[in-house]
Amino acid sequence: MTDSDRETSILMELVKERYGERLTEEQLEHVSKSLKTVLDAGKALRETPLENSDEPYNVFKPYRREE
Amino acid sequence: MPVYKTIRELSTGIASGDVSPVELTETFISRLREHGPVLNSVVTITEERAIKQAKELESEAKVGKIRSPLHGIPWGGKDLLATSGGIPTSWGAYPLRDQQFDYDATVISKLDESGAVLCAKLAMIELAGGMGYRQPNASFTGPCATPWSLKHWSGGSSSGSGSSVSAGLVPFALGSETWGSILSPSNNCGVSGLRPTYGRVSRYGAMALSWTLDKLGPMCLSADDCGLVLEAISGYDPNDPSTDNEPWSYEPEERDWKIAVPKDILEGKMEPVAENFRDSVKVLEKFATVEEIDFPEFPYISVTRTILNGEAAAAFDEFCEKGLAAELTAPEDRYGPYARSMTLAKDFLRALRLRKHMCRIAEDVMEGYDAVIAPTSGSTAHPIDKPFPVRRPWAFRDIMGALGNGAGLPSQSVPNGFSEEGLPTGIQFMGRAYDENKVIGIAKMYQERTSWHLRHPEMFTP
Repeated sequence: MTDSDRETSILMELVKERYGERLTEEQLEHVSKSLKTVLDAGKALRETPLENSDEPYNVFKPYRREE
Repeated sequence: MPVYKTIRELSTGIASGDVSPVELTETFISRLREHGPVLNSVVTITEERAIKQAKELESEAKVGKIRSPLHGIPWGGKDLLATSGGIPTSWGAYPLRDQQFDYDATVISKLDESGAVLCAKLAMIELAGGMGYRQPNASFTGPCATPWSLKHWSGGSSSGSGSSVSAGLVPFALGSETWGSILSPSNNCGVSGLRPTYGRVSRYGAMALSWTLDKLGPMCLSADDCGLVLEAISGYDPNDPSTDNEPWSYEPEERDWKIAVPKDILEGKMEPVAENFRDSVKVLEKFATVEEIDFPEFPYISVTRTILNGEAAAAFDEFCEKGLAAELTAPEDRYGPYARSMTLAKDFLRALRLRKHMCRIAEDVMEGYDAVIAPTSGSTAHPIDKPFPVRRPWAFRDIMGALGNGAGLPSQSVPNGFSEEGLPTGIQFMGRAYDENKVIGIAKMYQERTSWHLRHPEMFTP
């Protein structure tokens, strides 16, 4: 079993815990395959180095109601 | 007959009194009613609202009051735009088929003010494809066909918008794009579609799939028409904090352009797509310098994919927790959201951190160029009754889509030829952020030298 398989298997347990009752075995099989894609994307992101100062590209503005 | 006339042509007729907004509205409503069911492109015809609006606009026109070039022009909106007055807004999803809002989306209000006449809510892929559909039959209104062949798919998720403009059921439509949803149907239906810069158009009242990727844009018979519609719908909206403060006006430039083609962009593309693209480059070389560029190695697709996964999972959390996904049309959409909901927060934030680098790469590579060109899609329209291949090579390495949407860049698509089967292909002009006037300007000059956008499907030509 590869690291990727192990991670998929761990997250699949969470999927089953939360949503298992509403999904068939066949659907769970598909979810497992999709999970691998989600995890592979995360792995690809980690292969590109970042600095501590690299902030998420979001703009957050504190809110104050106009008076 | 007003069918297949551009907004500019119809507008001239309305201003001179030769074209009646009421008759125009009645003509297009009749076409929507007759051809919509054939194509599966229409959800709701908003006849009562449209006729009332058209009568008011006709009275104004008679006394010389013309609000804008859109005065009296019928249009259709993707069925994810909130509409008041008891008109349903289904988001293409069976469990939400009766959903209603008590307000209009900002784009609808803006088009009302400009004098455009909302005639229909148009079909779309359920939840704008947010559940990961893998076949054309992923809408409660059935698979939507391209008017060029009823056996082929319109593209999605703005399926009805592309199909209805192509079939002459409305002179223009609005679609939305998170990743490919305006460009794909523009390609498959042979119409001109514009994905604006992120923040150019307010999304208030539009279904959210991904808050930092969603854009609304026009789908028309020409790039020039896209400019006219964009001017009407763009601008700051206090209800959508992503909107740009600077007002935008349509002022297409006409000059010698400098255009870039990404290296190996035709790799894995279908032959008619590649052939038509090469022919388009020859046309462009008559008024532009065309040079090859190379985007550096970077996880473009993983960045945009992870942002989309995380935001879509959050946007539809309530929908999925209620178990409503089980009622969706495409079987794969019934389990699609569950894997995405496992996106790790750290991975999502890493994608947002890498996004800044991706935007800078785009700016660095595109600096000095007016647009980057590429085929709009790697293929012609897919058969309407078959699932998509597991790995579509053109979709799998869709760097233009990942970079363009992830960095929020505008792109204008126009038709550039046909396959032997008679299915249209498209070329896209992607610009730097806020460069809509350039990408529309180049596409307009291309259309002045070609006639692909003047061809219309025989079955729907009166």
